[in-house]
Amino acid sequence: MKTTKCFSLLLILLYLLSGCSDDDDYSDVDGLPPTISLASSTIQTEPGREFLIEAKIEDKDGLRSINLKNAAFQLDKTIDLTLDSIVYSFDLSYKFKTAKTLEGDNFPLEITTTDLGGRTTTETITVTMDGDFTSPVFTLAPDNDITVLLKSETRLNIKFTVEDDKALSIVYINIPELDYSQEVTTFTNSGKALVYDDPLTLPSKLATYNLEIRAVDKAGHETVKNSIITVSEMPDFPKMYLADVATVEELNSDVFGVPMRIERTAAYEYKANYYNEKAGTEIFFLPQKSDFTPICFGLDPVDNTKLTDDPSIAQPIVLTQANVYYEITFNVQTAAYNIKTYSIADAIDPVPHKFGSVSLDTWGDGGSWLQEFYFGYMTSSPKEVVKFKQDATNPHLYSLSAPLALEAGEKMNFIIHNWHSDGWWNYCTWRVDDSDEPETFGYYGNFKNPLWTKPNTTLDNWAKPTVKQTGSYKLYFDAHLGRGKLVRE
Amino acid sequence: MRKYLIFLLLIIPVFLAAQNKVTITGKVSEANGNEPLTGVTIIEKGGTNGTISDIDGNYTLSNVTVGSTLSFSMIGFTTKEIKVGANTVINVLLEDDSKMLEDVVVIGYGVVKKSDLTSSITTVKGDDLKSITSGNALYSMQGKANGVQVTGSGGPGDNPRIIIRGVTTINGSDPLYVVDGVPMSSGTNINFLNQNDIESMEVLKDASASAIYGTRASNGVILITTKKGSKGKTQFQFNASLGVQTISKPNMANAATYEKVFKQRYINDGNEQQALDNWAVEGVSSFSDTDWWDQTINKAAYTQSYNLGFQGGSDKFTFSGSIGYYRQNSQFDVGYWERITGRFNTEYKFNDIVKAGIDFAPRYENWDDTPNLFGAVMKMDPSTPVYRAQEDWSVSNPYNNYQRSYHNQEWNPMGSVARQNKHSDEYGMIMNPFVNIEPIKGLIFRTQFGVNARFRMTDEFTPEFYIDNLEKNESAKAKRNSDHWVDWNWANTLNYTRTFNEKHNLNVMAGFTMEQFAKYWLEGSRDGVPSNLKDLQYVSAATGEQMVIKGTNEYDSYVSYLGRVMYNYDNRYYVTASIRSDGSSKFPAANRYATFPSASLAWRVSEEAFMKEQDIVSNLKIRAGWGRVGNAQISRSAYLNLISAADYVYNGDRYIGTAIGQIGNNNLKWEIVEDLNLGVDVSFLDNRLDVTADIYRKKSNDMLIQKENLMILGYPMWNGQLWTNIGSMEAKGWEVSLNWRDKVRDFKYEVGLNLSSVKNVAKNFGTTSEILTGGFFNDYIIKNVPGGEISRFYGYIADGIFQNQTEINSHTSNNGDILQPNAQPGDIRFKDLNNDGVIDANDKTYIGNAFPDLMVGLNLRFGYKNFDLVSNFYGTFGNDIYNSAKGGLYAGTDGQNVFADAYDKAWHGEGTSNYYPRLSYADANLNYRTVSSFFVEDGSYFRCKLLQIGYTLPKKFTKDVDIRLSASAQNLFTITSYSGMDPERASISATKDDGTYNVLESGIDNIAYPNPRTFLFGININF
Repeated sequence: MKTTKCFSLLLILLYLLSGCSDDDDYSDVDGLPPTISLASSTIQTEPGREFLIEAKIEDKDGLRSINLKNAAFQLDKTIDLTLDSIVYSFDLSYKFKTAKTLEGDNFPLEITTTDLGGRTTTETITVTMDGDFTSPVFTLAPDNDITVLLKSETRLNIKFTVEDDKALSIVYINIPELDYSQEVTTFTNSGKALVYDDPLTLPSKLATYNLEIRAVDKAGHETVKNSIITVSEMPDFPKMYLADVATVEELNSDVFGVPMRIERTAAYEYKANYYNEKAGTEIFFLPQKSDFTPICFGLDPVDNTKLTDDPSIAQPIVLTQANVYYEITFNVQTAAYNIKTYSIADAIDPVPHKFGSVSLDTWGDGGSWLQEFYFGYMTSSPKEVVKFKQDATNPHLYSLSAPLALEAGEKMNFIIHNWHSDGWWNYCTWRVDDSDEPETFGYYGNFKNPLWTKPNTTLDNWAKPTVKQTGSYKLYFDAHLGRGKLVRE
Repeated sequence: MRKYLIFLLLIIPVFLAAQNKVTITGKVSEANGNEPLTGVTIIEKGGTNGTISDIDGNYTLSNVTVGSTLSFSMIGFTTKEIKVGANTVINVLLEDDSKMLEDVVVIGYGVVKKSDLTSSITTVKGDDLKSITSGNALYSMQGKANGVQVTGSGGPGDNPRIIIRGVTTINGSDPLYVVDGVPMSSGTNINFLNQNDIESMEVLKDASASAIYGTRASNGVILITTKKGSKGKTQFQFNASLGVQTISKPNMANAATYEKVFKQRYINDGNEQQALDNWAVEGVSSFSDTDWWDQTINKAAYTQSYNLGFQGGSDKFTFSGSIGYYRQNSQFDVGYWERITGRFNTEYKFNDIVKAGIDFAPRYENWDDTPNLFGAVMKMDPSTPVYRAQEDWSVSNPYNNYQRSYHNQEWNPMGSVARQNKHSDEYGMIMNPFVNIEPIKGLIFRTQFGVNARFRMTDEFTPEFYIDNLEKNESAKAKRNSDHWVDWNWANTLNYTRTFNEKHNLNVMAGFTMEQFAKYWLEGSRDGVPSNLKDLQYVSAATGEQMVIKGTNEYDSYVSYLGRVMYNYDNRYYVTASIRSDGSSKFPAANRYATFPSASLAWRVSEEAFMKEQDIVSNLKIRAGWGRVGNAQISRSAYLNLISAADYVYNGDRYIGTAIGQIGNNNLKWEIVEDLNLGVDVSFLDNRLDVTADIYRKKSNDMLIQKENLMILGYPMWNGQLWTNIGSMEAKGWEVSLNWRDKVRDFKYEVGLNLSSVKNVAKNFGTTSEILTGGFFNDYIIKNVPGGEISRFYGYIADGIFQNQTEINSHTSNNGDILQPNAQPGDIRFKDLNNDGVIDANDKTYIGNAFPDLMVGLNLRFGYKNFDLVSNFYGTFGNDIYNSAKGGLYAGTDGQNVFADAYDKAWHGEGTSNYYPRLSYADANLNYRTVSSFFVEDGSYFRCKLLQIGYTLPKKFTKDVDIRLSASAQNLFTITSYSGMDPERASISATKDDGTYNVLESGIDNIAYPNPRTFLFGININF
């Protein structure tokens, strides 16, 4: 009797087990493999660019998985479709970005789908790397507003450089008022670049001209650069810059800070404060940022007590003393100028504590909790500040030890801020005058050196310049001048 | 004839006398084993005639009157009385009175025979208390008191965490300690008790037992009864043990390996130059190779314990006393805890009605705080020497001579040890006089007034030193704390015991108690002490601007009415009911009083007639108990609105002022725990096998939670919370104890196995949806939510390591969104748990549980002739530990030192590791800064808490003196897969501001003082 009971129990158990096993097995509906309808059998892209893989995948038995595979892309993705209810139709829309370093022209990307019955179907998409998605870029372009001084012979150099990542097709240069019209179809650097430099003689009369430069690449992408050229008597320039570099390339290789914006103190009058690191630095003053023409204030070779605005004859002002601050004032109408120096010790900055000392009063209560004080480059939170390195000679001067690797087209977003363990804000910090094109840094912090009497800036502007050329850049900041520059290493 | 009569009259008494006086001889032996007993006092009752048994247990007593009664007594054995008859040879077997003690259990405000217990009470007594050498008697309960979770903390004087039958409140797990009827204040560390003085510890586990302590019983009650004198010859005991403690040294990287890891973190991020730049130290051409562990932590730390005790007495007067000394050194050059205790207990029986006594126990403790530098030692840069170059040494301030870490921000641990300067002296005394009056038989009035007073003075000096801008103290500071605690308790009980008609057994108790707990404290500190000189390390010597002077008085008081009825019919059917009404100053007037009832039933099945015919089950009792208890472990002023000192800053100047310090709640009331317990006690095979099993459920209501106030009310956020009765928690569990004892010829053995399990579930946090604890970078490790177990780790699932770029590229949503865009090969893959194509907080899940599924205690005791062996094991199973220190010790975060194998273990190419991520300075994937299962390890362990071998010298050498020598090892070995230093210590983790353990934040290992391995030699001399 007992044996019978045991046997019955065993049978029930076996039945239950086999029942469970049956549940796992799948009953075919049509027994056919799944179908893949590609949106396109080829995809045109380029290294480092995201593309979309699109297809409609169906199976009446239900889909189990979809696999996308290409070894060169380092892609082997399986989409599991069994997680929820049975999927009979799936609209594949999968984006993928290839590595920038990818080498090769075309690649087969396999899409393999498996249905619940284990049947598979594979389709291949050919992905080619010959796509062109980027418009030409002006790496050197005329300023938006160009002032040309009315002279007996009024000259203007139309100078620009335009580049395309693939190939340029045509570049148009037009000044309708002058019937100036050029079409360039011959390019350097395997057809990728145009360095244009055309000296023009303008009518010697007060006038305004519109310059349009339109660059078109072979895929039809175009970039337009417009400038307004004004021929005038010596104007009261709203902005003036100090150039301490020798070439136009250097003038245009920064993200910001070169040439250095100086102060307009009164009508036609300007004041430049500048820290001279080495003796023999040569400087000019420019009302435009990208070129030494059409106006460049330098020493008049005929009368060294005066400045000339003529770039063809202007001599550089040579700063002979190293490790001092220079203060140069000049009047563009009278061409008079004056130079004096003051020591690093006499220079004042708003920094409230000794950099690197344990002096930051964390709770603002007189010092119940002190922490190390420093500041630097900050993109997110005061806990994440990248510490500046203080210059050994000039304590007002700071820089980032590690270079910033930036890519063309990248829009930055940063401020200069103190580090704070609890992420406190506005203790010692600077903001910029113009987010897109920062030229000066204004102090914005709650605490400041009592000797610093300049008013704080009220603009809560983060620096958001756009990088023109990919490269490695170094950030310098002078707390006394409120000047920063981000230049190629 | 007359002469004959006179002669007869003269000689008859002589004859009679000669006939009535006899010489009795015999042998006194131990009932359990027939060992001869030396030193047994044999007295002819009603006179002074007496003797003592010799080394072989033999005795001779002459001039014994026939018909008189001989009394055979000896400490530790039940006194036996035998009437002298015709037989002049009387051999006596004395029962070990520990057996008798086992039969009586101390309950609140009374005692009861163990067989009459209707509640769940565990007793630890006798040898179990003596075998472990420790500063805290609670350690002797570990693994022996089933359902009591004792988790050790290794530092000198440290308090273990005690959880009795799980957790039903977020407001602490500490039980109520009652020492000789005097309740201790909440948060008491009972290390002030000399464990040699303790007769027994009773754990009242269920509410039917503990409800008699009402308001403070929700976490269970531990009744501690100290030794009392007994009638008989004065017995002396001297116990001494000396031991060394060791802590296993972790295998840390030397300077060369550290350098490799340090640099590789930058190299892996593509910054080779930065690796070189950051490694280079200006002015340092060669680096050291310092073993900070060997430098800072001593291989051996000594512990010692001595105790001299005595007991004795007569029919009228009994006494006991002891003097004890205990010291435990820390593993550092500083840090120890030392205790001298005295205890003198007397009882005097004036007559059959009145008895009085006093327990007088002064003590002195002193300690130097032990620095917790294990973490610092493990993190410190090994390429840094201990000291600066000798030519840079400061003559005036040697604290300046320590070298700043070259490559990280860790403070020099040797410097920290040298500067550690915090000393405490504590003087305490418990006095506990009582009077017992029994006007009619069975009716006893007892009044007892206990005072527990202690005074502690703590001096701390922070010296001035300069090692570096980030490692300095510019102004020496002196600080003194003066704390007085004076608690008193007056308990009055009336107890009536009577048996009616031989079968109705009744015990009725009614009582009234008053208690007050008071603390008076003062703190003063000031900086600007002109020098670090020892003679100037006082607050008065300071001249600085930064000064703190504060102090106040704190009180809480209780008035209670209590009563209990115990009845049984024919020792078969038992009913017990108790009630206590407590009034406490901790609650507002309207809710000041609360009543806590309990009831329990038991049926001794084995006493039924139908059980008499069998001999397998020697005892069978079924118990059921219900009760309601309270918890008042909250601040004394929780219901009050408070104004506190606060500083304000206007225009950079500091103004001293006040601000709202606390928002009170006028409706505050008791936290109530309701408890249901079912149990069974079974003994088999002539009581050789005892089995006790219990299941229980404890549920709290009106649990006190600090609730956020509405912001609109304008209270400051940090002070605007108010205590409210809005929560609920539940603990459900079971316990099974098996104990087997037997004897095979000369071999005696006892095996005890305790198994228990409890699940602690949060039921309701009111409007608070979750309680997050255990900060970890910008996140929390532990999430407590209603409906779930407490103290569970909540984070992402680490799903192995990305072995190559293909795996990163494939870790996407179904649309191709890269889930971890900052990842590189070698980084941790986090699971997209909800499969929504984004790794975010919705992918977090419970990744570990700090509380175990099973707790196991295994206790072995063997004896063979003069040898004895005791071994205790304790373990927990199914609990996890969040090893938060592991991240840094494998990643070298912030330049800290790493384990010796960190470089090799870290992922460094496809297939090299699927667990340890690559080394990275930036850690862009947040491998080490994300709460994830990477840090979670199985915290199960099984530890040999004690292995002790003893040998009692043969009597033929020691005559009337018993001498036992022993060698023991505590925490000898641990079976665990946990990779941290100590799974036991790690399972406790956080403490709250008041020093008690935060049960909601358990199981996070931040490298605390581990439980040391201790080797001891001991001697016990009884005479």
